[in-house]
Amino acid sequence: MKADPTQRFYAEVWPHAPEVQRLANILCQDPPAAEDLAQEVMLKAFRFIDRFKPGTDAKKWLFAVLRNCRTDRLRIEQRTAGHEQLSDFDWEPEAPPVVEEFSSDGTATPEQVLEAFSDREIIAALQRLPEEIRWTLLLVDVQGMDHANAAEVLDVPVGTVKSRAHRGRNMLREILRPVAARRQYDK
Amino acid sequence: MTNDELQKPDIPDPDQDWQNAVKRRLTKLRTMPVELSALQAKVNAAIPRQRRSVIARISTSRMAEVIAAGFILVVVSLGLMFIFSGGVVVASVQDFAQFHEDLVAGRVHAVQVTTIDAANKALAAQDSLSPQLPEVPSEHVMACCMNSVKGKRVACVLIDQGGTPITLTVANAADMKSPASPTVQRNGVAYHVHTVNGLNMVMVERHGRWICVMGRLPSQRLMDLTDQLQF
Repeated sequence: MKADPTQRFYAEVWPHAPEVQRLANILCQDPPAAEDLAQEVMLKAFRFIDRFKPGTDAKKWLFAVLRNCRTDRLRIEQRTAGHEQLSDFDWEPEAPPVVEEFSSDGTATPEQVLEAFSDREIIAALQRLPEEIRWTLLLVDVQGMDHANAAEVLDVPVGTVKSRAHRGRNMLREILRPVAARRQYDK
Repeated sequence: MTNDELQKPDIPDPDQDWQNAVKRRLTKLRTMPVELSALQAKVNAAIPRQRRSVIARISTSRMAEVIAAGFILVVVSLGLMFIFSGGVVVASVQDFAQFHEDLVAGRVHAVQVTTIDAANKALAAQDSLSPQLPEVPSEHVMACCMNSVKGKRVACVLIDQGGTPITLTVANAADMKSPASPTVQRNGVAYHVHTVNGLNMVMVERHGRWICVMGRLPSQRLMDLTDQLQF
């Protein structure tokens, strides 16, 4: 007997809604846009629930839906707003500086430098990265997906995921390290 | 070949510490609380849940039988609990597995912390009778919370072991005991080992505390981690 789509949706897909909303929050510049995106993803997942094979990874499938929705939205935005580069957004770091845990000689471990940034600041830094790099970090580091699964969601080879993750972390470091140094100097 | 592919991630990186640190910092975003009420309202409005509950499917003529059977079941269960438990409750493997999944998915409100010491302080601030978490050497601590299992306090902490989220839960041994299961003897300690939908968990009593460590790692790895706990 064929399972009821509504039951399937609420049993297999809806439990992953928090992860979808979280990724949407990080991907989008403002909360209403994130909410709209998450809503579109869940409704599309319901509409195409027949394409989801029972027993397979619902989260991975849902992230692929999210990625498609996000890509469509970016295309529309780019058509209507010219060719604004995603990495060109200004970034205003949050005040106040938090560098108390830095040692007196001015050196700090990478962990200490990064812990001094709030989640919002880390997200703001992520939003300065190119979309493909950002997606890779979201799936591999934030969501903890292995490279193979992330590659399936992104539809790229595993090696590309590995190199993008590597580059993305270096790019984040280059964004955050000068801010941390400036804060320490200002202090 | 693209630029992406030209870069070889396997070449030793002098900034590996930064790579690891960035990865760990990003992993912590996973525990960020998420507000779902607006999304839930919109999705529920668009996709109404099925209203046919279990009770609705039972015909009226059978309702009395069901109620009577349920009443007897409750009385017998309470009697058995009274006779055998002595105040100790048996941990439900399914409940603990679900709790782990909820904690990892951010569906449980948790406090972000970076050390066990900070976790113990945060939990003590919530509940002064919170069981003390043992020290976890070297793993990255991400979040903690209190849980109540059949009225018993359980302190929980989410840790990251090489990218795999692990939940460590601690209760007083006088409050909680492991359900019957195969046991593995290591260093004179009996570990109860369970698996639920690919999630492994090991349970053990140490230093007056009942410990459950669970995650998608082999049971042996979970036992290694449990061995390293410092009380």
